[in-house]
Amino acid sequence: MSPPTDTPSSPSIDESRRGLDLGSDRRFLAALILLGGTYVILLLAMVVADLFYTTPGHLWHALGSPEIRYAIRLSLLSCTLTTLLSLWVAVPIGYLMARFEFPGRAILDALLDIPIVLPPLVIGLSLLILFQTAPLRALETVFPVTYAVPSVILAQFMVACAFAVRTLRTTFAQINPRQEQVAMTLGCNRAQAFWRVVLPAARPGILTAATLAWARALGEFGPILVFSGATRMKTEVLPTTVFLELSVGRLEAAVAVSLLMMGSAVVALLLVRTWGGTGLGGGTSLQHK
Amino acid sequence: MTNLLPGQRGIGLVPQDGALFDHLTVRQHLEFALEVRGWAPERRESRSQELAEWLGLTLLMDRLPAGMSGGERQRVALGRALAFHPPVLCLDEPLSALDDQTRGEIVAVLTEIRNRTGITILHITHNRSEAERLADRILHLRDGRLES
Repeated sequence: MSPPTDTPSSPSIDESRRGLDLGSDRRFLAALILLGGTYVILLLAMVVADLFYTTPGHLWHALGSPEIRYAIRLSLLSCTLTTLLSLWVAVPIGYLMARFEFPGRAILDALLDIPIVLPPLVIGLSLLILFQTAPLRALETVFPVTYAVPSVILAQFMVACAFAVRTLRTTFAQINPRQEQVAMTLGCNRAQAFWRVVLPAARPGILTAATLAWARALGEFGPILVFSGATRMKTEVLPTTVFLELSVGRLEAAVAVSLLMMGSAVVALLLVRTWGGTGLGGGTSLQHK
Repeated sequence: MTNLLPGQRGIGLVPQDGALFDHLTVRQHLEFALEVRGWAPERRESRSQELAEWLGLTLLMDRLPAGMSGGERQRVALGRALAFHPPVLCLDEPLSALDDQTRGEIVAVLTEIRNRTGITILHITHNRSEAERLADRILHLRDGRLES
């Protein structure tokens, strides 16, 4: 092969590059970092501002308050129960929605997203109205729900479960259905194929859904305020504490409790990252309301 | 046959991509159908050992599918399908995703399976030369009709 010559029929490399703007990649990346960075800096600045506003003394004092200790205990208990209930429901719904076609599927799909799109306050109001109906009022005479601890769990569950359903639906949709089909040719019935093949394969997605449901439940405030009230030592969870402390002007205590919640949320999110992105669908935002 | 459940049909299926179970070791794959059938652990162990020696999987028994080569995956899928002694083995394009060397290796394994077990193998392929090389009988599926 002859070396390339600089003749009119074969233009030089410099000529072939004329008019190109190859240096623009760096500017493009810089623009991306600048635009995205603004948000990240704002987030960090918020946390740092909270940190500087409070002192270890404030945190210690907050942790020493019986009301706040009760709120921490109730938050941990209710979030854990909410997570278990959410998985109990979201695993079957997610699997059904990912695998089966049935009449009314599109309507059910829209229905399942209602808790995600509705303002959480409306969920609380709707629960309150539901429990004013005759059958549920009769239930409340033997098992009080409204303005009692069960209402906290129910309010958290109604919202957190929708996020778990979304996550698990994506998880199951991503698992190759051929694996179940093969398991069935090997002698499994559908239930055995589900327990032996699908569920173990969905494990990372289930853990992700659980963590998201837990974190979402921890931040739930609107429906709890409406459906459970904000009674100290009764239906007070951590977001309620922030609200109550803020309303009486104890900003230090409100910030200390906020930091506690931020810490828990960061731990939960780190756990999600550790378990990998499997099953992370569209419903993974953790907005606190 | 159409109305039977997949498990009642007695067909060992090997899909194109193997469709291995990501959370199970090679040994657990080979024993999967036997465990479902309630075989005793010793019987399962002896059958999986037999298959492993035959398919060259003895050194991979405790490995998970992640990181296995295409040929290894196909051999595991074949072993998993053969374990319960099905009268028919259905192979859905088992050679199409393999490189030349691995293809030769799997062709040898398939020939040995046929010679050893005398099992009926339904080998689905788009490759005429592959069919002519392996088949006793070739059926064409054309416009939804089977022609011999």
